[in-house]
Amino acid sequence: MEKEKREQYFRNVGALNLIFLVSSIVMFITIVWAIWADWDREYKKYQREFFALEEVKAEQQLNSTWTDEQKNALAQLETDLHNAQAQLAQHQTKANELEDAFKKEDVKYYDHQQRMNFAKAEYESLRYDFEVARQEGEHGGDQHHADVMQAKMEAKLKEYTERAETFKTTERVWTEAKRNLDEFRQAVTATEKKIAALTRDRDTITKKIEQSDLSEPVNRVRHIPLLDFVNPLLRVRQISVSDLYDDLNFLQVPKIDACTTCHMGIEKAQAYATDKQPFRAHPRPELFVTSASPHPMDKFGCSICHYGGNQATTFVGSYHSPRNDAQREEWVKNYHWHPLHDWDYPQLTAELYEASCFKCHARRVEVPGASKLNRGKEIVERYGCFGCHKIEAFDGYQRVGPDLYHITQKTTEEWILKWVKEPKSFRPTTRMPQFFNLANTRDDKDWAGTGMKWQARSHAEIEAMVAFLTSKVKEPIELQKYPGSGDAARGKQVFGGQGGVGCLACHAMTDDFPTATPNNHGPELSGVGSKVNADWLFTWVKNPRHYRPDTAMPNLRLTDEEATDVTAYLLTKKNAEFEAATFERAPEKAFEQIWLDVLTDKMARDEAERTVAAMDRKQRKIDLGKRLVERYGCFGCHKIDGYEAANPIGTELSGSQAWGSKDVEKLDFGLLHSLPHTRNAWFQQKIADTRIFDEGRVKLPLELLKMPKFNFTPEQISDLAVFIQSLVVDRIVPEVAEQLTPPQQKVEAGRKLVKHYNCRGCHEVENLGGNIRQHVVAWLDPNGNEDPGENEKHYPPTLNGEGFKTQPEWLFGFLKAPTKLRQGIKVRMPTFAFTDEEANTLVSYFNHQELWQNAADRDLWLKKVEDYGVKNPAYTVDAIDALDTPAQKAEQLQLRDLAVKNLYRGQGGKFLFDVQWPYRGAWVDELKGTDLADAQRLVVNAECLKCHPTDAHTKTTMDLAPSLSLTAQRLRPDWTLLWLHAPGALQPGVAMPQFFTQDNNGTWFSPLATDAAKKEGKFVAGDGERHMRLLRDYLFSKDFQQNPPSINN
Amino acid sequence: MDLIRQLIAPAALIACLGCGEGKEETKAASSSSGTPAAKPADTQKAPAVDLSKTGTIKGTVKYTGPKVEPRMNKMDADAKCKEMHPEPVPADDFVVDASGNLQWTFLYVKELSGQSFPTPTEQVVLNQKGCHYEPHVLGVMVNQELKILNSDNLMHNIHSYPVAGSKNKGFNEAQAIPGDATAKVKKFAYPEKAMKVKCDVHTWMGGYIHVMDHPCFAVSSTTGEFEIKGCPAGEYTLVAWHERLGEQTQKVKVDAGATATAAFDFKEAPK
Repeated sequence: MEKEKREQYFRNVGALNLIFLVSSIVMFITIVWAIWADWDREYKKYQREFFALEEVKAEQQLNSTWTDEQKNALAQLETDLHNAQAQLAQHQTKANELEDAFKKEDVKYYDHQQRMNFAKAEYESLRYDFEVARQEGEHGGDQHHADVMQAKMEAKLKEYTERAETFKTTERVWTEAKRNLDEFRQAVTATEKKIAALTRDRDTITKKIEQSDLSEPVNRVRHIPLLDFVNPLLRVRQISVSDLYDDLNFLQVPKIDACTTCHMGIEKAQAYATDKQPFRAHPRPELFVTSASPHPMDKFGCSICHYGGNQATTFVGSYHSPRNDAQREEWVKNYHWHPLHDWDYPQLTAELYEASCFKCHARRVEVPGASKLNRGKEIVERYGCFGCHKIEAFDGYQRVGPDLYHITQKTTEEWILKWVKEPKSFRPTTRMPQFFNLANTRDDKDWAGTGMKWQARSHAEIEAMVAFLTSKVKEPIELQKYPGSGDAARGKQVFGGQGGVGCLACHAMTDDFPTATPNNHGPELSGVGSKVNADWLFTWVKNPRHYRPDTAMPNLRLTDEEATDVTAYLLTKKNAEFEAATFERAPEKAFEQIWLDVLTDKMARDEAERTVAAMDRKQRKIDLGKRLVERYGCFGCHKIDGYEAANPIGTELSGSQAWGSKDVEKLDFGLLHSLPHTRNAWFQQKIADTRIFDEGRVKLPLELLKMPKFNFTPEQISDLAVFIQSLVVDRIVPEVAEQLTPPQQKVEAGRKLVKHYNCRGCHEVENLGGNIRQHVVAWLDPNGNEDPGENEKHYPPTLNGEGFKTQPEWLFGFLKAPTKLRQGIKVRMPTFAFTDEEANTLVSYFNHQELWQNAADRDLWLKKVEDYGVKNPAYTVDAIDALDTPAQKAEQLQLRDLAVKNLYRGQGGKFLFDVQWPYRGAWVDELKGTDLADAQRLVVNAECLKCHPTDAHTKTTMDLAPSLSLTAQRLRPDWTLLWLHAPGALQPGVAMPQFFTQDNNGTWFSPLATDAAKKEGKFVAGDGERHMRLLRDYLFSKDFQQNPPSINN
Repeated sequence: MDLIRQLIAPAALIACLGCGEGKEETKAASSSSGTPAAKPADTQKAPAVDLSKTGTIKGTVKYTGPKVEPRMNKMDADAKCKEMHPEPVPADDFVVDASGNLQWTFLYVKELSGQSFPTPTEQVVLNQKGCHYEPHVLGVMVNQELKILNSDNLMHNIHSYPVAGSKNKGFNEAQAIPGDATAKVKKFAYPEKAMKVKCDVHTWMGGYIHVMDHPCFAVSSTTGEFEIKGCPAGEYTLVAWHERLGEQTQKVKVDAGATATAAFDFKEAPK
């Protein structure tokens, strides 16, 4: 008993009860807390706010659409309805009678219908049985059975026919009864329909208001904790994208983006365009997110472009990235923002958004709409980053610097020494970077342990490299002797007077031809006379390819006299300051010391000293130069004999090494602790000062950072950062990446050539360019006044629409061997010596980017463009016109054209883009009889020949007009007809006037078809349409070719 | 014929192609007798001005700077023009008589811009006669009709150059036959100062059109005189513009029914 008792109460029961009580209370509280914490999520706050906003917007919509007028109309209809019902009530007996009659018939109707249907089904079943039995009988089966079945079937058919008859009779009566009833009620039902139509929109909005009103009882219940599993309004919203992947280290999972959990207005472009975050709609709805855009949200999600913690539903967890310090502080204060260490991909800041375009659109020369990315890519292309850092997108590109095969024939050793030391001291705009006298190699820094300054080391390195490079030159090229008699003043005119022959399209000359937007495709030339010698220069301007076969510089076809004058002019362009500066030669011990640094890496110090002492002085300089050229990677930009296939010296930035995906931990931030630990911050700091991460570090000379300094502006660095960070390892499956069609590939290949040869230096191509125009200025009228519009006439022609304008065969020939088309234009189309492949690429490029095949397509196109502008106001003619820069305009036009093209093509439209190349267009028939005679009179009476010669030589008053003899080979007939209709529309500013005009009825008027023309003896029958067609057909006719009218006719 | 039809279908062809957003209208005066199509709603801007109380501004424009020889136009480029003017003709860009009276100055008051005035119904005429523009400088009100006439038996083209940033759309049309048959009637929807017009065939032919949104303007005559009638009473800045001499301004006070006077004197030599 005692024991039992003890066992029973082994613990103090009272105390235990207390513990259980407390712990169960704690547990209960914990459970409630857990449920509450699970229920009370951060995103719900935003969603509540959003639904409140939805309600407000819906009410606003209701207020603006449900007007007093409609309210009155509704009241009127309701009165009508009431009256109609009252009317009906007065004849209640009749109504009841009719209704009873109908009900009775209705019952019968369905009864008979069903009987008929049953009979039919039974008959069909029997028919099948009979068919089977008959077949069996025919093949030796039971013939009797078939007969029985036939009798049964026929009996059923009779029954079915009878029933069908009965039903038809019933149906007639039923229809009658129904019509009587409907007619009697007609006034009421019609009014009810009207009311429904009037209130449909109102009811939809009201319903929406009710649905988004969280205080509605239904909605309250739906959101009670634990009950909120049945489709609550407040819930996580996810977009799962099967073709895109998240990289979870060793595992790639399809993307699931929860961003729209909070960003609930993102798709509602119009309603939420200006709301606060997180509700604001995407700012570029025509490009992203919306279903009408090329990147709809359900196909691409969000994080493929934005990155971030895409599955998180909290502000911090989704890894937003602050735009600047102010925003960072604000976020820390309001959201307890902090960087996440368990996720490698913070969201891109706005600065870097465009970096995401490239992973799918890498095959394009430029990504439409991503101007920052495009600028960054262009910097890489122009500054040749790929010379040291492999970037796949630039495989096969030419080195950006001149080759050094014959450097000693072009300039002097002294010049090269000073140039390498500080290129910008000779030419401030040069792309050649500076390697010496930088943060970690300042001239005045002590060269530890040598008693020398660092300058001695730098100069020794430069001397050694120059010694090596000048020892490596190839067999000399034969240079033409400069006659020495050039006239610099005339040369200046040839170079740039009113545009000159075109030098200013690629080269700037800042002192003689100043401009705010210089053309720097080629080097700036204001000091060139201090660099090159006369014979080299003369040979070069005569034919650049003689000295360097792969130069992009074309042959301007200068006469000997012009070349002599231009040479004389350029030789006067000196950089006096640079010439006056001297290069301090390094002491011999500097070379010895560098050799020691090099050798002690491999051998003992005393052995190294002995080796150095034993070296030949001259040879050790050259040998050191070789090692340094290899260290600094000069061959990344310049062709050096023997180094044509050398591997680039820098880190690869693409492929599996893609820099945009590089681990931040792998970047050496040195001692710069204040720099945020992000790729972007590191990169921009590195480019701004390539040696900065050596600051405060103790390093041997050969361990120092060696990337040169480019002197980029902060904007350039930012652009460059976008491109470099666009190189990522993200897995993009082929279905997602943009695939170019063969025509598109042609267009992209053409765009690459357009950039390489700088066509835009002279011509407007795809709405951009014509950079030389700024120098074609100050054409004066005969009175010496500046003459508006006169400059435009001397501009090189626009190439917008070139593929529609010219015949492919002609264009090919012209590109290969250009001739002068417009005698009065001074700027000259140079000879680029295109290969057949290049010329073909350009011709197909112009062909394939054309948007229409004929005027009808074109009108349709213009209509589509207009329609698109109505839906997307940022793309109206006015809106595009109002943009600041030509580049922005061209970009917006390109985006618009792409979008319209897609829409148009979706509706079955065709463009030249889709057409078999080469596209030549419809040809014209030969003119005969009266038509021919009239056409001949037209050309003379319309005074075409006043401006246009009919051969290649005759001068006319207007020497800007091309010869008509070229028309049949050069132009396309359908273009020519369009041109006659509206020359100014196809080439704005052109001197060619509009000869025929269209009246308000759409009839084309010809001045030569009037009574006034009869009086002058210039009458030709028909109207403007006939005249234009005759003129066009005549220009293409054999008669015109063989027997052109003379100007004196 | 089919291709032609396709080619010319809509008026959009011309309207949209240029993609400059001008609003002026064109009609060939001869063939279509219809009235010009309705204008885009005339922008009812600031309150209409009281036109019941108006006055007149009269005055003279002189040039008293260093003596400058007129530039001479040689018409060698076209035999027919040469026939009409065998000797070089003095240019219109600086016409001053022996006593220094300056012709072809455009005078207008500044302050009335932006107000609303009725559009005059009469046409202003720009005549091309003897390979020469008559008048050399003219003013026309917004939406008022300007008739461009060729009176020579040869082809002229009239090419307009709206100033940079102008919303008026340029035109360049040929007139091969003299007379009303080929006359062009133009209207300008936006005010614009000194829009140059010229002929590309005869490069010496040039003139200036001033599109005004009020009626208080005039051009100085051969005797350097001008008269601006029907100007609402008020105090104004009167501007005298000359293509080679630039601008001068003066304050004038216009009283209802009275005549205010102004005298301009350009002293600087022309550009």
